[in-house]
Order: sequence, then C-alpha cells, then structure tokens
Amino acid sequence: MTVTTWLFGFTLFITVPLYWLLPAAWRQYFLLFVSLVVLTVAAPKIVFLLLCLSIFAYHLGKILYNGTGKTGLFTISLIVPVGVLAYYKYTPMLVDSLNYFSRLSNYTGKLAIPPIAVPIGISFFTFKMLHYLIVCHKKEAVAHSFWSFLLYITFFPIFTSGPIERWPHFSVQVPVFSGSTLFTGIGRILVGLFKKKVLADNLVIFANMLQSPTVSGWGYWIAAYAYAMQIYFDFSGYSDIAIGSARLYGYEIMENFNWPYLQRNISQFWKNWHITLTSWFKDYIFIPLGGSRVPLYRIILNTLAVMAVTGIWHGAAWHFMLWGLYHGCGLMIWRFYSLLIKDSISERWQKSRIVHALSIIITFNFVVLGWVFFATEFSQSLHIIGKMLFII
Amino acid sequence: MRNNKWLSHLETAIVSAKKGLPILSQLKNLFNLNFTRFVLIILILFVVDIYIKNYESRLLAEPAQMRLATHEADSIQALRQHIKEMDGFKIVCLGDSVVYGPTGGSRETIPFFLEKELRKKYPEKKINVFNFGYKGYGISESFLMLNTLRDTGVDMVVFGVNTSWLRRPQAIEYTNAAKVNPDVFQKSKVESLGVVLPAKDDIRWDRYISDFVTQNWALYRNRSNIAAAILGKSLGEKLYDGKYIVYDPISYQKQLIYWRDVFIPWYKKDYSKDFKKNTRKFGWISLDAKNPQVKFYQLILDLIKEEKMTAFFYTTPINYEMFDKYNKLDRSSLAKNMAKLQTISRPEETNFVDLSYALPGKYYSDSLHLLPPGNKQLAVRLATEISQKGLIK
Repeated sequence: MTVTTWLFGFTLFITVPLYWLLPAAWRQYFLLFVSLVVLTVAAPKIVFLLLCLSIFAYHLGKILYNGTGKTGLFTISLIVPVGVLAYYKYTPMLVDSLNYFSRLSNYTGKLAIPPIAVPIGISFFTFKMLHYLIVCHKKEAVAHSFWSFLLYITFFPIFTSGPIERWPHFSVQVPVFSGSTLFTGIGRILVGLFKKKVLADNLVIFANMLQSPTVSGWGYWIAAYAYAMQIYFDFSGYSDIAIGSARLYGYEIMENFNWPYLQRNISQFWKNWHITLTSWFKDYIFIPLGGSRVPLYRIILNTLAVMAVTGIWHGAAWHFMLWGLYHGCGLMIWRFYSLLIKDSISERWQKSRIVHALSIIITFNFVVLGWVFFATEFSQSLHIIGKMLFII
Repeated sequence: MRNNKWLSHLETAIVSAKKGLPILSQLKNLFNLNFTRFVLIILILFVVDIYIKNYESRLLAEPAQMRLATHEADSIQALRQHIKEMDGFKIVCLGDSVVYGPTGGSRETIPFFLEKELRKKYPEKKINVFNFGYKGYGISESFLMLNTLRDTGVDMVVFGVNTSWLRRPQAIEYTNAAKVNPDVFQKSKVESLGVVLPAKDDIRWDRYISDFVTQNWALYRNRSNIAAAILGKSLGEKLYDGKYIVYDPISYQKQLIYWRDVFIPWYKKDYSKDFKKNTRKFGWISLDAKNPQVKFYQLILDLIKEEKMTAFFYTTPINYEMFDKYNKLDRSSLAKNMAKLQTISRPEETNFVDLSYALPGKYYSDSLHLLPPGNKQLAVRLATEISQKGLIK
C-alpha cells in the first residue's frame, strides 16, 4: 500500500488518536499490530516471508552481537536477505538476459521467464535487515526485543518507499506526545501530497514524451526537465508523507532529500539525493571496499561498482545500471577535476557566486541528461541523447 | 556590461533558489502548522465545503444544466454521484460533443431543453435529465460511461449515436471512465476487444473509503470542477494544452480556431479547404462486425439488455445542406447503412430512431454540431418521440 492511498490516510486517522490514548508501554505493540494489519490487507502474500526473514535476522543479529565476530556466520547471515532480494527482484531480468545472449550465439532454446511477483517494499526491508546484521556484527547495537525489531522492519509509514531508516537511530527514540509533533507531521504530509498529487502527477504529461520516438531535440530537453522535476517531486513527496506520518506516532525518521538539484557538484548531489540509500551504499559497500584511502585506480573501480549497484537497486533492468555508471563517470570526472584542476583555479574565482551558480546549472543539467538512461530503454535513451545533443 | 548584469541576475536567482525560492519558502511556512493554523485551515475548508454544497443543490434543481467540467475520472465520479443520489425519473443523455453542447452555455444544450420539454409533458413526474456527454467521446467511450451508471438506478438512457465515430480507426481514445467504478465495471468485456485499460490499485477497502469520502465531502468531489472554474479547464487539461503547444503547435492552433468559431453558423465560414482534402463522403461507414466501434456498440446494446434499462437511441442529425453544398453526401449509402444500423440496434429494446435528416442547415454550427436553437428543436423532437413511444411510465 502506497502512502498516497485512502486506506493509508484512513489508517492514520483512526490509529493516531488511539495510539496516543493508550498507555505508553502498549503503544509500540499497538503500532506493530497496525503495521501488520496494514501489510496483511495491502499485500497478504508478503507477510509470511517478512516474518520468516525478521525472525532470521533478529536471531542471527543476537548471535553476531554476542559472538566472537566470526566472518562465516556473518557472511551467511547476509546471503539470505541478499538472496531473497535477488530471487524476487532480479530472476526475471537474469533469465531475460540469458535468453538474449543465447539468441546472440544462435542457440534456439529459450528459458521461460518465471512469473515472480515482486513483494512490495522488498528493496527497502532487505536493506534494513542487512544494515541491522552489519551493526550487530560490528557490535554497535542490537535489538533486545523481537517486537521492537519487527516494528522497525514493518513500520508501515516507511515500509513501501523508505526512507531506509537505521536501527540505532530508530531504536533510541521514545515517542512523546506534543501538539507540535502532530502539527509538524500533518504539515509535512500536506507538503508531500502537494508534491506528489499536484506537481509530480501533472508533470507526467510532459515527462511521458521521453517515450516517444518522434520528438525534436528541444522537445526531448523539455521532457527531460519535466521528468527530472517529476521524479524529484514524486519521490521526495513520498518521503515527506512517510516522514510526516511517522511523526504523527512520535517517530523522527531520517531525511531523504535536501535540495539535491541546487548542489554545485555531482558528489554533493549524491549526498543530498535519496540520502538514506546513498549513505547505505557508502557505509556498507564503498567504505568496506577501501573508500578513498586506496590507489586511484581502485577508487575508480569502487565508485563505478557502487554506482552500478545503486543503479540496479532502482529497478531490475540494465538501463538502470547504465544510469548508475553514467553517474559513476560523473563522480570520476569530479574527482579528477578536484585532484588536477581545482587547485590551479584561484580561490576567489572558486568562491565567486557566479561560479557557484554556473556549477549548479552544470550539475543539474548533467543529472537531467542522466535521467534519460533511467527513464527509457537503452536504445531509446541513446536516440534521445543523440537528439538532445543535436548529434542526430 | 549587459553580460555582467545578466550574470548577476542569474546569480541572485540561483542563490535565492538555494536558500529556497520565496514562493516555496512561503509554502513550506504555510504548512509549518500550529494549532491556530490547523483550526483555521479546517474552518476555511468547512466554509468552502458548505458553499459548494449549497451551489450544488441549486444546480440540482435543474440537473441538466450540469455538464462534465472535465473528462477526468473525478469529474465523471462527481456527476455520477449526483445521478445516484437524485430521486424522480432519471434520464441520462449519453454521447459526444453534440450532446455536451459546445456551441452555447450549459443551459442551451440538448439535455437541458429535453428536461424542460419533458417536465412540461409530465408535470406530475419529477423528471431529471443528466448531461453525460463529452467532447470526443465516441461509441467506445460511451460504453465506458454507460458502465459507470450500472448501480445508479437510472430510469432511461438517451443515446445520441453519431455515426461518424464508426469511421474512427482506433478502438478507443479516452479511458478515464474506466477508473470510476471498478467494482461494477465490465473490464473483461473491454479487454477482450484488445483495449488496455488503466491499472487501478486493487485494494477494495481503498475504493470503499475513496467512495465514502467522495460522497460526503463536496469540496473533494468537485475538485476538478473547481479547478476548471478557476483555470477554465482542469489543471491536467491545461497541461495537455501546454504539451500540444510544445510538441504539436499546428494541430493546437487548428483546434483553437475550431473551438473559437464553433459559435458561428456554418454558412458564415469557409469549409472548402477542409472538404477538398477529404475524399470520403458522409454515409460511407463500415458496419462490419469486425469494426471495433461496432463491437463496442454491441457491448452497449448488451449492457442495456442486461441491466433492463429503458433506452432511446437516435442518430445525430447531420447538416445535409452543408454536405450537399460541398457534394460530400452519399444519400443512398447513408440510407442503406441506417437501415442496417437500425437492425443491429435491436429497435425493440432501444427504440432506435433515425434522425439524420431531422433538422435543416440553419441550425448548425458545422456539419454536425447544432447551434442552441437547433438543440432546442432536436430536444422537442426527442421529447415527442419519447412520449409517443410511452417510455416514461
């Protein structure tokens, strides 16, 4: 169930007053009950899988936290959520790709694409579980009650579209009722609804022109700008509603966006776009691979790998990976610029507001061009890019 | 110098954007709610809601004056809700722009005059006529519209069959009506014709809550009507206009001219260029069973039978004088096809009447659209036919 449905609003309307009327000790259980009911109504098939995975992650987390830090068990604990995610989300893509390559080699056999329905929120809840297992392994935190862990995983306002909340941030919160909490929450929900329903949903009309094969270069530019704004308002609108809804229950959820299109370089863009996902990849993939403390060629490889995974996380298709790699290249260019050119430019010029403004424009347009890879299939994206750059 | 000025403007704009554009800051500030603001917003919504309810009740005294403000699902849903809630003898006029009545005000349409005539003929009955026609809504769209009426207790359906739609190559253009009432919508029947309908969130509870809110909250029910009142069109339609301005400006200009001139009688306009391009003659239509429009027409007939609705079908009158002037009317083909259409239309169920030649040329704005006096004349004829056939009991 997405956060813009009536059922979601109705659930908030009914359960928020009840939640605050209950004794403080019962509230967590009530919220867990509500989350499970909502998930059962919206996606009954997912509940069993979710419970099994939660039991697995909770117990493994405890063992890892109390254990001697053996990597074997830790590896196994990570394989299970990753495997579940891979099976549900990426099997059809894998089979389709195998079929494609077998066609190239003149093999006539064709594997049937398994009819797997992707469980809602799978990319989010598996990432929360992986994060939890890692913090347990690092002995940074552990859940002392299964129910509070299950609430963390199933907390319905953030279940389907994030943000990817972190356990140490979530678990220390003690919801306390106050008028400002409620009104901040309602205000945030209204802002989110406006972004999603008024701005994003209407911009689709222009953004959809990216799918058309017969548009001029300028036409594609307009469509790409519309798509850039549409995806931002859509996603940040969802995040606002999720954060605002969680606020109604007294929880402060991590922020996901901070004016990403007004950043002066691509690195800053990624620090302010889908913040909880970017920081997840940084903390759990980029830094373990060596981060920025390894030779330059390794940094390049690590960045490209992280961005490719970021791309494929967004959807099970190769054009998402291409989008990730495009941004990986952008980050590389930025790194080379920082290493080789930046120091030779006078500080006054660098700090001038004109350069600041131009940097924002260049970064924004780089991101806009990248959305073409995200929004369309490989061949269509090349056609559009060609038209946008007036090459074809 | 000029360059520097331009850059400094740009710089100011971007720096202020980074801090938050004034309008966005204000918006953010507006939703920075406290108790007083929250209560104020609720109060304002409450007052506006009462005003809209009051306005709606005034309109409902003569419901035929209500036209669909837009063809978006929520506009259709709003009018459908009124049809469902009204009592008396409920007649729904289905059809395209001819029924909608773009050549005049909302009190100059066929349904409005029909309501007046029928109220005169049947003063003891509380006749309520609803205008459920919309611009560009052909036979297939009319089927979707009829589908939304399945649980509304409609007493009679009056369908203006514009045979021009039988020449449309695509099966359907607008599918908004399919979003309105999915519980009673005959989705499988439409999809069996190869038509892809918009996906709908399939959580039943969500639909029940949505229906409940629509029924009880006038402000929400009329949201696209309000937008249309403010902007002239709904926001979505405005944006569609914008899209055509960018991507197909020539067609947009043509449309603009068409809707500007629709109030002028046809004989004051020059159609020679349009007719020169068109080699086809009126009357050349395909009633072949493979024609998707014929299939949709059959679905309409089946639905009428299934729901045991009283129906009255008539063919949209044509401006034969104009067609004759430009030598674009094949009378013998038209006669043959009308006879065939009559057989297909199961006249015993639909009370089908061919009104192709019902009105002389002076009543038309173009080849099909009637001017307000024409709407009145046609409504008088329809009321006479309906009463002669004894369809209002």
